[in-house]
Amino acid sequence: MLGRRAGSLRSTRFEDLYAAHGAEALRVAYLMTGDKALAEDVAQEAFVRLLKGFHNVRNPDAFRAYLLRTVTNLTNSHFRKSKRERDFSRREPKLRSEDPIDLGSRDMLWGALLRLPARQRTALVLHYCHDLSEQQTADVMQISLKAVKSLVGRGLAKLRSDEGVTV
Amino acid sequence: MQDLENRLKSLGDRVSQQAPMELRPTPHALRKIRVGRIIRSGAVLATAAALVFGGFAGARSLTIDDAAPVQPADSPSRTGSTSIAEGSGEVRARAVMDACEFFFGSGCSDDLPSDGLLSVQISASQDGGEVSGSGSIHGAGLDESFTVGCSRYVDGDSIALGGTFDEGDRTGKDIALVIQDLDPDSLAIWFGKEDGCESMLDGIGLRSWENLTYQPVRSGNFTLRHDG
Repeated sequence: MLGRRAGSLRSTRFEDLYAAHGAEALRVAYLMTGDKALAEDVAQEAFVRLLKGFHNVRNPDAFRAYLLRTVTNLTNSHFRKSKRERDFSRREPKLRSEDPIDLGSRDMLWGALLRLPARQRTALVLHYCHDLSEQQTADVMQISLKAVKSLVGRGLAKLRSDEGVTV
Repeated sequence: MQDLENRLKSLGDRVSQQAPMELRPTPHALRKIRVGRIIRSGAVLATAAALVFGGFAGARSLTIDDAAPVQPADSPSRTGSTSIAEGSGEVRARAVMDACEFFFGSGCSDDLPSDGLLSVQISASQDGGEVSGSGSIHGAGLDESFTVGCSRYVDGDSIALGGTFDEGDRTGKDIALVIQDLDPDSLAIWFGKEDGCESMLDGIGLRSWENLTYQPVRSGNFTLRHDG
């Protein structure tokens, strides 16, 4: 069983994983940042980093969780490192003019989501926006199910207390 | 308020429908991936060289962190005097791993604590780029204190603090305390040789921080500085 898995992984080309999961990585990064250009940078950086450890990936089934974890970690690390989070949180998600949709009132919700502390934002994006189960969210964030419930609860409470969201 | 949860789901749906959401590798990313492949091969050589010549210090010129264009783990901000991390707590002794065990597997070292609880204390700050602080580990046969000399952020919510034992049986050797800011926080303790603070952290990073043995912190709390 183990040998078969290892064999199947060896036959999995990195390019195939890139094609299969690239859009998902980009989507999560976009939800986490509200900035498409930054999201593309984050998603690509996640794949570059995964490449470094690709030979250590023993379970292809875990690749998705590992990728999403890397994307969310890179996003949070980016904001933290560059101190952009504070500046960023003062403005709403900045959609480019060529973006084909008008998020309308959801702009306010997205803005409030981006103002949340990093781990609350990560939990809400993965669980609600990206439709992962609580257990899947816990696996991606490498925390307990109880911790996910706590982060989600605190995040929702904070959103509800945000004036823009309740409008 | 169910409505808020539905609105969050709807936000995700709308982003999904937004076209195009296809990740197309830029020439920059493709170049990094190609270089990454070369570096990965180099890293294998570096590991072998390090093991043959007795430590990572001798093979540093070949390590991923030195050669790769990929960003190394983030270093804390270099301005002002700021606390990096502080706190105390108890953790299972199996959170301790040393270089020998890390690279050769278990059973190669007989002076590590095998079980029991360790009491860990740490306080670290930086001032003008200088990282300083102190820490101690007591319990499970260990009674050690150390001076903090370097640090770096690791994968988002974690920080690695490196230092040198200045008291106890391991005086002069390296130690790294890796703290994951989770619920509860988790710790991994690395016992190094005498490679130096930064070289030790490079050595751990070469094999991946995730391969350390993390244990949840009991009855304690570690506060990390998050605003980089």
